[in-house]
Amino acid sequence: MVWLTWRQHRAQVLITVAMMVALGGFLLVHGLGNASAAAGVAGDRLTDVLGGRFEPVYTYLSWLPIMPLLIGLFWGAPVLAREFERGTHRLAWTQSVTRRRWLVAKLGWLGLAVTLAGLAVGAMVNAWLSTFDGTRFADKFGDSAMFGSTGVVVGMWWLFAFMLGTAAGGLLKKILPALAVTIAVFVLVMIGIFQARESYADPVRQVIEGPLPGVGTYLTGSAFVSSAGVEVDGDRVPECLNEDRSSYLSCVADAGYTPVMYFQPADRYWRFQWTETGILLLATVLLAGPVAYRVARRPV
Amino acid sequence: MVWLTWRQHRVQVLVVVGFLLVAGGLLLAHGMRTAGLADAFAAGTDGRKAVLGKQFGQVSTLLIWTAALPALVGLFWGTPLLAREYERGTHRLAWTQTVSRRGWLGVKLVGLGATVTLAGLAFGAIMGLWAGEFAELRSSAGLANLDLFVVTGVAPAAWWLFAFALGTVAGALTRALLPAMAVTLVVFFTVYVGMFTSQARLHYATPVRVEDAAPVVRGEPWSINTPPGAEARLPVGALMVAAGWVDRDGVALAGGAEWTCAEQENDYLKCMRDNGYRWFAEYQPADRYWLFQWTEAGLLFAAAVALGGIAWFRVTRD
Repeated sequence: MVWLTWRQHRAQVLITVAMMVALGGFLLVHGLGNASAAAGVAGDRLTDVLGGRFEPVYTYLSWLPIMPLLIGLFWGAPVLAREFERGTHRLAWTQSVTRRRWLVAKLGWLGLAVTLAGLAVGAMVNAWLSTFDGTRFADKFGDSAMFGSTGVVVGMWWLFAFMLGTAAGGLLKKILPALAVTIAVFVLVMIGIFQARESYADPVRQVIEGPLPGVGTYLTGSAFVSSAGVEVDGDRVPECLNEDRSSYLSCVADAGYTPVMYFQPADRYWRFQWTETGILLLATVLLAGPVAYRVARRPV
Repeated sequence: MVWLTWRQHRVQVLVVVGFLLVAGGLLLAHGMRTAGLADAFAAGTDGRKAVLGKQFGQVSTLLIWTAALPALVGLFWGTPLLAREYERGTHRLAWTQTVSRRGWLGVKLVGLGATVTLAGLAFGAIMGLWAGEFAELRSSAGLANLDLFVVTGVAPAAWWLFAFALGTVAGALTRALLPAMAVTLVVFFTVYVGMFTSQARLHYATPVRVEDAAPVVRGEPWSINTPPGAEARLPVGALMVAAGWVDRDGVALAGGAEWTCAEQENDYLKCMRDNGYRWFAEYQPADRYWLFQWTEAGLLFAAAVALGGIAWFRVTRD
């Protein structure tokens, strides 16, 4: 079964490995450039130097959360949909290898490969991001694209997308509808998780009278509190509703309001990583059920 | 043949029609709400601009996702057209009927291409109508917002047709569905993102150049390379191509050049004026919007025809 899985999916494996090598090579070169550019520089000048290097790369890396979708489309959907569409399932599942073993082997090996690949990409991005340490760009918690592309959760995103593609293929039995449904569901899940991320724990509330919380905190909201202690939304200070953007802040300050921030402190990063990993793991396991049923129980 | 094309591609057509209806409905609702909110203020006031700005901001973050639309058209309209036939072997059935291969491919390409173009025009019209609500905003009128430029007017139709042609030729060359999809995605996004990063759009026509003595703009942060308030000094809806300083002889000052004025933060502008430096800007005025739209549409249409030609020769010459 190992050889069969490899033989049937080697194109996907090789292309993914090639992409990872390209990405890793690029991040390595860029990161080394950051290290040499940052040598002996500090403070504001460091922010300028590294900022100029960060911005152009970030416009592309902010698309990293889409990579799991490609995994779902090109690794996941073909596993079952291609078998059903071509009728080869009748051959594959009437051999001495039982259907259960076939499925476990395929999903196991492919799932393992996908998870390891995701974790590897996460490690590369993490290493690259750490070359920006000391500036506000090394933000792996507050930035939603970077949070989803570092640590443990990145492997889970890849595995979830793979299982989503497999389930879509197994339930719809045709590749084009499976691809469409995978795209649609993945986008919805991504939007949902991005919105839900700030609620994994109750945020810390802090009135800002001194310095802002440091780099790496996850800002979830801001508000203003009046001198009497009444708190209002950041946009809705009653005395300043008709001001436009440039004069709003001075109006608010004149009216005696102090800013309040809600944030998740940086030390909650791993807690949030594991929370999100758990949610996605639950979703993956729930998807595995229908897949197993479709493969193992229904008549060929 | 027309019936066959419809029958084989009716799901794609229905999905796109459904999408246009949903998007159109949502944008119509958003536009009407914006009009309602903005009418509370008189035209041209700051309050009205603040409301319009906020409403625009609600949707503008989604504009970047509209890049996915042509990609999806390429994947679901373009690649299955030929790749699916080859993969399943049904091309042996389809091309041994009384309808010749040329007839088959011709009707399919023209029929689906026309449908894709019409759908793209409809989408461009919907987005254009919605964007018309925000015509007063400096950041969205005319040519100022390139993310908006690519989803209004005739540009979406051109991009959708280009992606369709790209998917078709990928299917014709690779003869397998998934590789064709991978190739389509890679090539499409390289071209699409490349158009943005290369800033090719800034140069569809020779920009208008304006020069002036150093401006007096209070409260703006100064920067050696871009005169303060450069964007605010351009007409509404203009697209800035370049801005900087020239000295008395008309030679542009390079970034990072050492000048006497660089140290004098607060008197910087006065110093520049006294030394005879002039500020220049090159921009594309807003009334070139349609010129640029047709330029981009023409380029993409030519590319689509070229790609379609490659697919044509690949299929009909076997």
